[in-house]
Amino acid sequence: MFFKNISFYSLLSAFLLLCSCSFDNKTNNASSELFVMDTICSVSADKDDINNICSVLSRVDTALDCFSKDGEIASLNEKRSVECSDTLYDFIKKSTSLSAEYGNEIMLSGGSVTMLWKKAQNDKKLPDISAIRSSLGNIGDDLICFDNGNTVTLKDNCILDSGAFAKGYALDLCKDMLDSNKNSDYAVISMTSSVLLYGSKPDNSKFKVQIRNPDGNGTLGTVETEACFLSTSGGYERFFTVDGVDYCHIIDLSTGYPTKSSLTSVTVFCDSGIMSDYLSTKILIEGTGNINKHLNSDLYKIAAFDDKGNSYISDGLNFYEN
Amino acid sequence: MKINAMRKFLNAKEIIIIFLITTACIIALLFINNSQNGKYAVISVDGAETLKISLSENKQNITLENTENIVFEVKNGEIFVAHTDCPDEICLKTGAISRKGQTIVCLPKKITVKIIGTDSDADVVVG
Amino acid sequence: MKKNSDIALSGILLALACALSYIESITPLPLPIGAKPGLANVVVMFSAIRLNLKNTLSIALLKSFFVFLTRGFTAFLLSTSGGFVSLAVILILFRFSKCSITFTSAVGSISHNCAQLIMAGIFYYQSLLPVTAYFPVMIITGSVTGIFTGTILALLLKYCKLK
Repeated sequence: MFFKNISFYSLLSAFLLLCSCSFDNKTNNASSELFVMDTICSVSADKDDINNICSVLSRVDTALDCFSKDGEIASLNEKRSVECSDTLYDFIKKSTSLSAEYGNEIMLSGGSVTMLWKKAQNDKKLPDISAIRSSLGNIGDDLICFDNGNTVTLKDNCILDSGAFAKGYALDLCKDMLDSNKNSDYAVISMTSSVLLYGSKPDNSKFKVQIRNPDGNGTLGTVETEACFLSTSGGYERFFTVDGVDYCHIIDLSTGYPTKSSLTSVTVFCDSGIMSDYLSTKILIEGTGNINKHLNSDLYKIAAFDDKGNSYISDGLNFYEN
Repeated sequence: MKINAMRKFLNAKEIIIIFLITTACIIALLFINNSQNGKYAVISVDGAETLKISLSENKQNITLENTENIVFEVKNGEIFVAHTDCPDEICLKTGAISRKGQTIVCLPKKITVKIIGTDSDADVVVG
Repeated sequence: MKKNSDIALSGILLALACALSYIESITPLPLPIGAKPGLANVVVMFSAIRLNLKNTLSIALLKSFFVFLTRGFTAFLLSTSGGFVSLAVILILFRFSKCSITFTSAVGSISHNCAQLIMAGIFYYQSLLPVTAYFPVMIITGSVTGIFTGTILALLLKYCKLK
């Protein structure tokens, strides 16, 4: 009799203890926002990781900044030869190998051309054809030379523009940092055109990603996915208008002109941030011609949309319109 | 515990109590539905929350105290920039937003508009 | 003698409660999300009337454990919170008030739904704010299903001569 009581009550207390253990770290999430890389970055993660994430993002921002005087790339562009930080060196290696493998429509060395068009946007005046032609002569990743140690030298008038790779790369470093932490189990870091979905949500549901409609009205649809990187390219609101004609802010380096693709929005999902950033822009520029090759890739999945309302979604990507 | 000594079915007093509770709930439901779920847009300048606007009422000519030349408008549960003088015009081209996760940004004026207080449709909005 | 038959009865009631709970979870019904007829509550209430406190608690406990085994942790958490709060309410009403079975069942269902809603709010959103709008719906469905299950139990007691 006594033992039966004991066993009953001990079972009961063990059970209640088991229940109480579940409540400890449900409220560990925090959010933060910061201006980096010319955009707003929102971070949602475990409280302890927020500061680390912000410092990784700031560090990468400084390393890859092409404009301000603290920027390492700005300094490289000006001084022509610089001993780079490990971050910048690694970035240059990875960007150039992506262009080498997948295509030259986007290159890290494309700065001459992209700067020309940025100036056009500011002045609201199209660049001369001769200016475009000569800037095309200054691009090419072979103009980036690697010397002793971490020294990088730029040949001729080559200028680096990190715009197509920077955000993805920053997110890669954030993921590396979170992985090394071992205690991090969730984070969503969004730079609007590039996102890191890390770990798993507190309620174990899939991440939901909404893709905005480039013309500004509502969304194209939602993708449910497990943790991954994703980047979106499209005209969206960053186009500019000269003499009544709209130009996309994405410059196709194979022509030297803003892209006139039939694709209006491309989102790439994969396991590498820098690759998703590069590919989303490259596939957009390529247009629908080569889209099947991308739909069949094992390394990444895409959700692309064209100006006739067609959608191109990789098998295995859970996309639905809403 | 008593067994058959208990009354089994509702008597008048209990029916009235349940009826009152149910009616109160129905009234509460009507009230909640009419106040359109309290969606708000929060406008921050340089990171500091400056203005919070409800999206349930149409409103024109919304301006900020210390920032000039940017005018917002709320229409049909959405907020958008009606007029601005900044050269990029990115904020104008972003169009109207209404869901949590969407933002309108004006970098030169350091203004962000965010939506709060809705059911979480999505974890992140890209594009 | 009585104690032995009580234990046997507890076992049967437990099995019945688990079976009803499982069947309910796989049968879709046109009710708001999370709302169920709660037939297992008929069993729990009967046990509250007929058996002693220890047996009733054991049945409730082990039924929750069954939910944990079959439906996973989140379902278990929500179901247990609702189950224990409503059980407590039912026991209090039985012991200290003279309410009818049907009314007690209705109040029990309401408290079950509200406790589940509070738990869902804390677990998923870390705050009660997003779920506040669902309270009225939960209270209404709670009273309806409660009256339904209470009437079933009352009819069973009246016409089946259960001891």
